[in-house]
Amino acid sequence: MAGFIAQHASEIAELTLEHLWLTGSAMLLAAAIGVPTGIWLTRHPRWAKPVIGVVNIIQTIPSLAMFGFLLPLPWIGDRAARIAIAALTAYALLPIVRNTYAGIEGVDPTVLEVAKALGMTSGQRLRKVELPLAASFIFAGLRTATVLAVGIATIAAAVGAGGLGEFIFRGVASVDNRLVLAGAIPAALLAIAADTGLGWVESRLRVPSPGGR
Amino acid sequence: MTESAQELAIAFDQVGLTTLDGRAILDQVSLQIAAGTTTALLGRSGSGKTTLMRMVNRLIEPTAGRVLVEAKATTDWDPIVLRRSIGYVIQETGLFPHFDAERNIGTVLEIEGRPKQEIAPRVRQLFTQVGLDYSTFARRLPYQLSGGQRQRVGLARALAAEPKLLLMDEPFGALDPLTRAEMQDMLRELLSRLDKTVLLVTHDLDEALYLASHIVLLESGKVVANLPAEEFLGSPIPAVQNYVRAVHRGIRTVQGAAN
Repeated sequence: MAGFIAQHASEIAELTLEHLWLTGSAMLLAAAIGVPTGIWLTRHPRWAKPVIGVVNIIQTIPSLAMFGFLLPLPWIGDRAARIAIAALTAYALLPIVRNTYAGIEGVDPTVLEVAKALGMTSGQRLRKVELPLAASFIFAGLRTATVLAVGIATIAAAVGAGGLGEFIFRGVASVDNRLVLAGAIPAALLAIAADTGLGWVESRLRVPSPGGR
Repeated sequence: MTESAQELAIAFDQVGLTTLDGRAILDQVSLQIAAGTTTALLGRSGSGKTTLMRMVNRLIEPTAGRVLVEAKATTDWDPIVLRRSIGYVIQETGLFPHFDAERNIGTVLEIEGRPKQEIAPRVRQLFTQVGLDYSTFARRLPYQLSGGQRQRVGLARALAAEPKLLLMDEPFGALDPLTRAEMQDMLRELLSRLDKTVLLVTHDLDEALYLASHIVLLESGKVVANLPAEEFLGSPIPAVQNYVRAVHRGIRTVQGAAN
């Protein structure tokens, strides 16, 4: 076993980095799309149901099928990594949009009314009151999305995008459990690290109160 | 409006509010509130007193009539400018839970974009005015304060930008009687020194009598009495007598039993 690890050390490191790159860029994209969308929905609540519904449906697509769907698209078709990032972004949207929307909607209406009564503009209300009070909620969504994306990213190897899934697929094909574990264990550790790290940020952002919120 | 409008801080002119399903929340309310006075809006829950108050800073728009602030219709004011020029105090839930006491008090100055070196000394001064020790309380979040302390912070926040007008919606309603009495003393003392026009919503007759120069009694969206505070208890108006009779029944019962 020690020999196996030594033999594959550089490859494990390389695929782990690739895995991080796939999930990291997908998460940045998903946050850049999802958070503004969530905010926009709080301003146009009529759209909340349909938009969240669509994002919800995206998430029910089996991941292998999703990667397959994206293959024929001309503008991403030539680059496997881009397909993977697009698919992961689509999966990560739901928790981010939903939590941003619900987090802002959940801000105490009395507090919002006071913000208005004191003369805050709607931009000031968003920046100074709504976003800070919803921040831990939004981060909880990012955390869920990241853990999800780290897992789904292992499937990306199926379209040749690389990542730790490479080991897993190779291990399954050659019936070599050591290879499967060489992919699965680092992927699991990444997920745990993301969960713990973002969980810590989330708890720092939580507005302290004896009742908790 | 005649020239006496100059001294009017607020005027309600035939103000009405009807909901979409035709229910009248306020019905033809006309009131004139002179600058520098404290007026209590008294009435039971649902009488429309809070709604009436919130029309002054345009949180609610009337469906009939108009509201004038400093002789200018609220619809002619920029709502942001109007609101920043009016102090607003509500029950204890009104503080921003994520701002410490200092930032809460400085909120209006902050959103007006005043420089930090101007806000800091003003906020320190306000801590003293409402009887809070700066070094002890400046960094505390609302949940780390008692009900009375929160209310002091809320009052200081309302006074920060030196508004001429102060709207108070049952500011002391959530406090125990002793703390409430302390706060009422403090407010009375503050108001005697500062030249403010105050609109105070309350259902507490005692509070109205103690703090206000005028008492307006509302019932189902209508003004049923508008009297100087000292004439209120002796008024022959049946609605006023009713309200007065409903208060302090406990004391009367006990006294009746003792005799």
